[in-house]
Amino acid sequence: MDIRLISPDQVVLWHSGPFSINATMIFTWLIMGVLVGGSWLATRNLSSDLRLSRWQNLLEIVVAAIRKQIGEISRQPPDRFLPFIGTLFIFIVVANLLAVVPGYIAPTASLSTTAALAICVFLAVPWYGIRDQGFRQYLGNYLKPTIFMLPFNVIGELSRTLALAVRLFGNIMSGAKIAAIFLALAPLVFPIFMQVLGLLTGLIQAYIFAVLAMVYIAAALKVHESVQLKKEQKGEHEHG
Amino acid sequence: MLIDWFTVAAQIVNFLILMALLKYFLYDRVIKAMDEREEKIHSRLLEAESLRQEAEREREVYRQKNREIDQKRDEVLARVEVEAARRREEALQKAREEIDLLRSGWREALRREQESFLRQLRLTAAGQVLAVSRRVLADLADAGIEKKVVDAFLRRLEGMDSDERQEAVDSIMKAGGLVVLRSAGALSPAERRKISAVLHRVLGEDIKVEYETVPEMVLGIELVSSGQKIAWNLEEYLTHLETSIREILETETETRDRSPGEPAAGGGETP
Repeated sequence: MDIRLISPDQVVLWHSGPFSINATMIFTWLIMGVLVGGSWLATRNLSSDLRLSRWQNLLEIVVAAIRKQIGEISRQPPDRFLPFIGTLFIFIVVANLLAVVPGYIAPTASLSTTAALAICVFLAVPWYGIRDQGFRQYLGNYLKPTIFMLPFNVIGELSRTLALAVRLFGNIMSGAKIAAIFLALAPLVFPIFMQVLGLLTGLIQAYIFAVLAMVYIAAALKVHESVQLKKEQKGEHEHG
Repeated sequence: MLIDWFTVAAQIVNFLILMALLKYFLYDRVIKAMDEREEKIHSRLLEAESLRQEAEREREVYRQKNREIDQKRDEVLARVEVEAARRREEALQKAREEIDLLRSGWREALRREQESFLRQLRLTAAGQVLAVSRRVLADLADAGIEKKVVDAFLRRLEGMDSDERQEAVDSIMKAGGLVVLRSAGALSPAERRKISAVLHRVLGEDIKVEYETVPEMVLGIELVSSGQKIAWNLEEYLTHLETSIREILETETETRDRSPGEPAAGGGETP
């Protein structure tokens, strides 16, 4: 069994020159459709009253938890990072959890997808860093503590991006593969436990991916803004 | 090759699109709703706080008002009590005065009645005494007494001093020298002669004497000229006696009138 055969990239549905539509994209669009449609449905009638619908309550819990996590890691106002980090987390979670659906192959089991996400993180770090500190100062960070560290810093930047991509890919892909293998070996009850394990792994990996992304971004930000966050958190506590 | 770079590019685009869509459909809306709710809760809390404070203020105001009303009520009650006591005192005083007035009025009326009764009694008694005296004297008036009366009259005529005599003569002359001699009983001719002789001797020879009998005189004799009268009779004494008695009675009544009035004036002060 070749690893190529079980990557969703290999399931090509349409092909024209360099363009092709494979299962990874299809499932990604499916996830996007589910997320956007669900969000649209749930946020159609948002109320700012004290009584909430269940869906709104769920969304608010999720969003509030993500914001809290971002705030704790970055020690900064979270709303600037929320769309990026939140979308990473939600996308990966939904992509991984949908694995319970028969016939579905998680897009995150494709190295192309995880590489794409890792590249996004790789680009987001200087994006936030330069916006926060300015171009020169951000690049100056690569020369610390001495100029000789520059190659190591660059290598570190690249390797951690690679690690992000491979970690997620390896976990999800292996989960799917192990499930398939066990299905072949012991077709009855046992694969269910593997499936459950796979779901847990998927959830944890989504969390790890998002947290690491936030950590990388936070490392590129100025330090002195933490004071501002504390003030904001204090304010939130008082309001809460 | 595990990485299909076209797929990578497509997934990056997909991810960016998803990020934009979720930002629009999810994060912004949810955060907006949460912020609005938070704001609403905050404003409600503020409102509740302000309402609470207002209620507190109002409560204080009403408490203050209650205190004022209580105080005012107490004052009014106290004033009313004082006023009631004063009016009661006044009413009592007035009643006492009226009672005193009535009592003194009764006393006065009683006293007057008593007085008038006593006066009447005295007058009646005096009248009775006089009537009895007159009656007794009239019963006793016989010739002997008549004679003595004539003698007394004559003694009186002769006892006149010269001034009196002159005065009597002047007035008799003015009346034309006519004198009337009145007596209670009819005089005998001897007595008439005796009297005429004395008159002529005392008052002059040229006077004329007429004799009249007046039984009402009871006892006595009098000589009447125009405005001049020389007499001795019982009636005169009795009249004099009556006058004296009246005077005494009047004096006594006045004294009595004055003396019971004093305790009546002082009696008003004692309830």
